[in-house]
Amino acid sequence: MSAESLLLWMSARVHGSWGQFRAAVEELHLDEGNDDEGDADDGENLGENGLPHYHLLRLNLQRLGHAEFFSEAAGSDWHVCPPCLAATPLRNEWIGILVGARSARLIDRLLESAAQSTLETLEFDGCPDQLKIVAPDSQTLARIAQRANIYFQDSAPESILAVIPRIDEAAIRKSTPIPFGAQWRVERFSATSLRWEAASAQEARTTTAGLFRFVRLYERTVLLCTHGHGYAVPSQVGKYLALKARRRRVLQYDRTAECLTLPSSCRPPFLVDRALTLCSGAPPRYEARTAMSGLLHYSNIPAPIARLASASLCQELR
Amino acid sequence: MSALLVAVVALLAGAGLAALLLRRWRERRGRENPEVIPEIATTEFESDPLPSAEAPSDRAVPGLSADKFTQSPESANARQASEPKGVEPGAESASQSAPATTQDATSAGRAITESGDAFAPSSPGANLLPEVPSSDPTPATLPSDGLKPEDCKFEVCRTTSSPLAAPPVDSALENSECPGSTASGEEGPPQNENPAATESPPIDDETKRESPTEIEEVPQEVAVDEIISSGTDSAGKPLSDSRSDLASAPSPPQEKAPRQFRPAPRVQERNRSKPRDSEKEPRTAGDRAAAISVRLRFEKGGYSKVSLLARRSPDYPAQLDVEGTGNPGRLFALQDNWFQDFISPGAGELLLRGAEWVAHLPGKQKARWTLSGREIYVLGKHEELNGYVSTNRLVIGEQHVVLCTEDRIQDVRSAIDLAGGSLADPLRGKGLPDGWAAFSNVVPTKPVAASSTGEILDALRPAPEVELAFVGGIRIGRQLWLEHYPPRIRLRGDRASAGVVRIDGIEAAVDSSGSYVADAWEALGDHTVSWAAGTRTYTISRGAEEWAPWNAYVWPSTEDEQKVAAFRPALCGALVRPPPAAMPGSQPVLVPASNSLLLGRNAGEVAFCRERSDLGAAPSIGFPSFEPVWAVPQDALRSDKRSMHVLRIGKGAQAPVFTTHHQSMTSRGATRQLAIWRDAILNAGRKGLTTEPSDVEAKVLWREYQAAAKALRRKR
Repeated sequence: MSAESLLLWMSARVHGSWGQFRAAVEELHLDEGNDDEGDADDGENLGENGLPHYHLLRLNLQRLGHAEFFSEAAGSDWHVCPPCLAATPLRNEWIGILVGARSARLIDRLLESAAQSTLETLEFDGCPDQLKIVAPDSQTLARIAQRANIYFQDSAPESILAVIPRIDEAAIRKSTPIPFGAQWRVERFSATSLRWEAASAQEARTTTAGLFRFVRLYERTVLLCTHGHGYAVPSQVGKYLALKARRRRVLQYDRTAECLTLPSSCRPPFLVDRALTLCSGAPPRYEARTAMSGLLHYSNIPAPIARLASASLCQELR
Repeated sequence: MSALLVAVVALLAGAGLAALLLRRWRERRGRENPEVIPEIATTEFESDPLPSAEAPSDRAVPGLSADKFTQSPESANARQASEPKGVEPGAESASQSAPATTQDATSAGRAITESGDAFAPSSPGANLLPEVPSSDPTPATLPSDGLKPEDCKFEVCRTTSSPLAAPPVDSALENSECPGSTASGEEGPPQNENPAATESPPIDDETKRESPTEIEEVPQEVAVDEIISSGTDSAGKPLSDSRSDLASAPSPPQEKAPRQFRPAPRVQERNRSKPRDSEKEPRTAGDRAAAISVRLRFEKGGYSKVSLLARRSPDYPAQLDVEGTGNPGRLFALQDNWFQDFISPGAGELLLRGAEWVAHLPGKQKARWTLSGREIYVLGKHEELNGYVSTNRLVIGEQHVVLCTEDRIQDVRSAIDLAGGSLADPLRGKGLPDGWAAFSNVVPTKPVAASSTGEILDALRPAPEVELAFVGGIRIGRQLWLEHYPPRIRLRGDRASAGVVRIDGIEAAVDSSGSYVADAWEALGDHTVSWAAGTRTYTISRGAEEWAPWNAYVWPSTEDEQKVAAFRPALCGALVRPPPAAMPGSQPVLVPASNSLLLGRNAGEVAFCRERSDLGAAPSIGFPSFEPVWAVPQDALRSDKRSMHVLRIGKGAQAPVFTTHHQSMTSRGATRQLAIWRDAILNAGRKGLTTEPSDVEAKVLWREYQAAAKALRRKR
């Protein structure tokens, strides 16, 4: 079974608990033959041994916009998003990616509606099938979505990036006291090596600005510490804030190939990732490197989207 | 002289009487003094090599044991006669003993076998099974020392309280993992808790083991479990009364140690109406100990991972601090019915010796789990879990992994070979516990008769039985599968004994994948599958077909900034959702930041887009409740006409609409909107902004709007 069956199951159930999600992953035998080698970035968040497969599936579903989890899941542990055709301009044509819930009937309707257009099914490891419709303009895609009775989002990547706050916006961080006690293991994100390095709580209290991770048993807190104050931030957001503080640029953009490249340990936050992925319908390609963090390559990224993403991340394109 | 003789006789008689009285007094004292029992218990528990969990205080079995011990042998025999013959209690009880007593226990079991039909082949075809090489010990020699049944029973209890055996009755859930085990006869009662036991004289170990009466007594234990479940004791007395009787009885310290797996002779299975263990509702707090399952998952590079899985009741907390063998620590819920995998560095020892875990639940209740140690584990596919999970025994035609100690490799090879399974070299290392090996891809092809006495190798002897299984598909409820994704209907085990399989009364055929199909078997609705041994039902249903959006990502999220949040859009999946302050029916529209004023075809239809100055030249997004036609600069008079244009964003024929209705609009807001609409068009015209696209159609349309704006100005 593939992640496609998991999304079908989620669509049929609409929402549920984390236990039910994990039970479905087990029952559908989705992680047989897979090891725990997850993406390096979030793998760091969860431990050096990488990600459990169910967690990788969850991240992929959330990054691609198929479902929301936990605090964004409307009171449940997970909630499948409504089906939506996310339109994106791609050179001289437009592509529409089916995002969110799906069922056999819905896919039949979509196939029928898009009979005059080109429809591709993209398969990726650990991800549901990505249904991509290629059309000459966005109006065609809008009509297809209307006939299939699903939502339509015009210029989806640009719209998402135009809505989300910049990483340094106060709305993202929340004032939190810096933990104390010897039981915490403290690490600091190094903007130089792009890795978590051992640190101390004292260092967190005295630093002018730095990203610290406090780990105790199964508890993990990421704090942006400045002048004795702590602010809870999502891990990936915090990394880019730390990079901003050190004026470290990690985004590379190839205009010719329309490819955006960044270190895998600095994978962008969910919504930026979602916007970049919707440009092509494909998750980023991972390039392993021996001595340092691997690279992630996002393809088919138009220059305006790359600029918008870099602006959201307080980065400058190289 | 005669008087002297009389006096001597009288003295002797008095002394004898005094001695008799003294003896009776001692007996009575011994009966009333409970401290004698703890001494025995302590002595035996001291040899417990592993930490053990504290037994719950509300255990009812001691009282029932006491009740049992006070029965007459006749009543015990009468009850034994009423017990199903499929239970082989003598062997089971004895097999709980330490290794030193196993041989004797097995002999005792054989004694029953030879005298009755309890171990007769479980099916008509069983007599055709290949003969199992016998490794049974020599037959038991029955003692004739005139021991009373009560005495012998007491000794059985003592024997079974040795550290490697003697689990209390609340560990009996492990039965589900024991080949041929039964729910009742598997476990002995808690030991050393019976005050009546003090009445028994000490008996040496040899006598204890060879006592035939212990075989006769054990069925009473079987009955005890049934009494527990029925809520009454043997005399029909409410169980609570029996428990209260016991409450006053002194009880020795209760400790628990991991126990060894005690294979039970295979018994004839009735047509099961009860669900399998995996289908049962998880046991709840206060219930007996739940089984710990062993799971093996293969990974890339030939590596594997062996873990222990504790069952979970849905009402348990999502995380529990668990104590016991191997220090499992805090366990998190893997799903509703299971806790997460526990991977121990000393997994080999745990598998061999067993494990006892306990956790404190809210309300002073305890949850307990047990794994009986053994040298061979049979792992198979599981309906709820991936990988290979410990199961009772090999099933014909199914794929298994057999995990065994190095010492047992040859035994396993022989047994699997007898069952028709092909064997590759065993796997070692690469994630497997030290001292253990795994045979993968074990698929038995023929049934093998189990040993009559029960031994660990019985797990490698497939029974000539069959069961129906629903495999795969997308299950969205208990017996509910999603339309277009039905389960495969398969028979597991000896298909020859299944007879004709019917789906909804129609004889089913086997397709190329080995699954049973019939007309409309995957149609919407309820379906019934019947075969020789029973029926099962499944339902095909549609899942949800409507999904509503919600505001998944909202900024800012703090309550004190809700006023700001009212004007910020939200996200859900790929959908951009209008802010709470937007008009109903609003849709997102993306325009360049320079053209952030949207105009509709009806005069007065205006909407401002939110600019993102923080994102540089980012587009602006607006949420008009109308279909916008033009996007113009908010302040056209101050714009650079060389770089700025009037953008046509609407498609199709969208001529302006200006009616008397608009002239009569008198509300303050409406008047203001009319003015904005009018002035935006007029100012863009004054500035001389060109249209984008610059085709004729756009230019003509823009002139129409300019004319409408001028007309509106004249009517002012």
